[in-house]
Amino acid sequence: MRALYRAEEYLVKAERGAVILLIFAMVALSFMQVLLRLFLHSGIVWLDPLLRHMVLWAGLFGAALAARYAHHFALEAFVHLAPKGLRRPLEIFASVFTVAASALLFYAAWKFIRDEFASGSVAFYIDRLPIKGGWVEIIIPAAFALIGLHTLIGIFRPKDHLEGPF
Amino acid sequence: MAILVAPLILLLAFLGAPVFTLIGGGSIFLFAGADIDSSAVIVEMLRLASLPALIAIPLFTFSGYLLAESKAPQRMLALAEALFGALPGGLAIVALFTTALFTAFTGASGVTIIALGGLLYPMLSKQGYPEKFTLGLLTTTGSLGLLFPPSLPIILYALVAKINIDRLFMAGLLPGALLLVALSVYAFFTARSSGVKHIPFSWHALGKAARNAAWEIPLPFLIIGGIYRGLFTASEAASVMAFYVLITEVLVYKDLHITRDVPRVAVKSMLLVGAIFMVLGTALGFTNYLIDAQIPGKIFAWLHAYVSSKLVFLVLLNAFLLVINMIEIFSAIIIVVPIIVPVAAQYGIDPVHLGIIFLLNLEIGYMLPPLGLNLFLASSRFHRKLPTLYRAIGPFLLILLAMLALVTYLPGISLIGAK
Repeated sequence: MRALYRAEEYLVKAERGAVILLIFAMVALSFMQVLLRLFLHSGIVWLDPLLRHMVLWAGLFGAALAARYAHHFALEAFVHLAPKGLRRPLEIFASVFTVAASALLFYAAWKFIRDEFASGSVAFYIDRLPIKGGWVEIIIPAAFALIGLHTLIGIFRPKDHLEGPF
Repeated sequence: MAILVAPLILLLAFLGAPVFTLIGGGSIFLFAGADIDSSAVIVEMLRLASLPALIAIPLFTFSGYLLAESKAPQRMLALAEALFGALPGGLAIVALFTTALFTAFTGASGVTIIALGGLLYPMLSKQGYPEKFTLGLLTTTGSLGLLFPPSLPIILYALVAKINIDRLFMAGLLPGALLLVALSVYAFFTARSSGVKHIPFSWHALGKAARNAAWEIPLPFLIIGGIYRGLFTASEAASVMAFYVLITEVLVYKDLHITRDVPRVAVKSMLLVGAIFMVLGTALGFTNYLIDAQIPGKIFAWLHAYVSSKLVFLVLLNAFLLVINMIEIFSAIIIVVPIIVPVAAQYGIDPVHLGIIFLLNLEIGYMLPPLGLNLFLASSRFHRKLPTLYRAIGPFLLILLAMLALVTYLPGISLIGAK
């Protein structure tokens, strides 16, 4: 079990790294685009779709991390009102349900990505280089897999381990 | 089919299942019932990558969190105190204005009470404000400023309701300002009747505070002014703000370290964004199903049989929204807005006006007993029992509800700015 938690920590490190890189890139590139528009009345055409996909990737990596640190929106108020003895069973129930729903959504996303690759659809072009839809959208099944995984490990993870590094 | 699923979803929600699993699972179930392949849910989710204004959410959230983690709140507070402290009720008015600004810039995610409440509580107590007033005021401030740009709920509402973000920003300004004025008047009279001490005005203190905050003073003017003047769009404003805040807090003030603090804050802000995106992404398919099944039309037809007057509809809508918003605000916007916008349109309600009603309801829902988020935050921040806070927010709640009535029945207050 200990090895599993450690392996998860490496995964979390990678997700955090991706989020940080994406945010820095988004701030820099979008600011450059604003400057280009304001001062030169121009802009880089492919930067807008690239930025929109970076937003998707950053948000979904954030969603994976939100599963690790139990940050997803839920009606916690009622659970807090429940008697103490019921809280742990409710927590486990919610986690098991989340894992099942993530698996279902992962399967749907996997089918979608398979079709995208089969049809060879193009999400956008960087100059004349086509960017395949399947590759930029692969973050969707990946995010559901990561959310399911973090939630599953979360059922067994000791409590003191749950607090985020914030 | 939907009749069967709805109670099950509600039950699971009360048991604490995350909102996105309910919507995602629910839409796969509904799509299966309509013989649509489950991958259609993902096709809808992918629309997240085609909303051009969506970038405003991560960038505003990131820069808001940066501001919250820096010493900007202290500098802002010192400046406001030097400016207004000498007025009767000045310190309470300072609290109202700074928290409103702070909430608008940090996306109304509940950090205001945590970040500023702890600073303001001892200041207000020392000045002699009654304990009950102070607690009520600080609990209220947790969501005050939600109507001012660039607050996250406004952006999310505009995205989901498919209306122009800039227009909604402009519409919120006057109602938000009126609310601040109404609360300031209450603070003024409370301070006078309870004999609160004045803070003597000092040019020296004002000069010092202004010099300290010199780099942050232009920010609201740059962002809000830039949007109002049409210099840039909301998402461009988000980019400008993120860049500006990063430079000033890291290089000028050196409050945040580029490798020690900024990455941590970036990740923290994306936890909120990720949670929003999951609900938004799964709900895009869900609400599309509801619209294809003409659910809003059916609701209108059913409702119109009982409620023919626009006014009565608005009263019912307000009651409904207050309950919904008390539960979870971002999910409430994402799920409820696509359903009520078409219904309200049938009653002849302007979508921008509806937006302001909705957002003001959100603001009140945050502090509405028994479950409003502000109450829980204030309870843990100030170490007071919930019933104490329920009593403390009474007068503030009444002022907000009166304002809601005014905004609801006088559309002009919202629409005059959005022309």
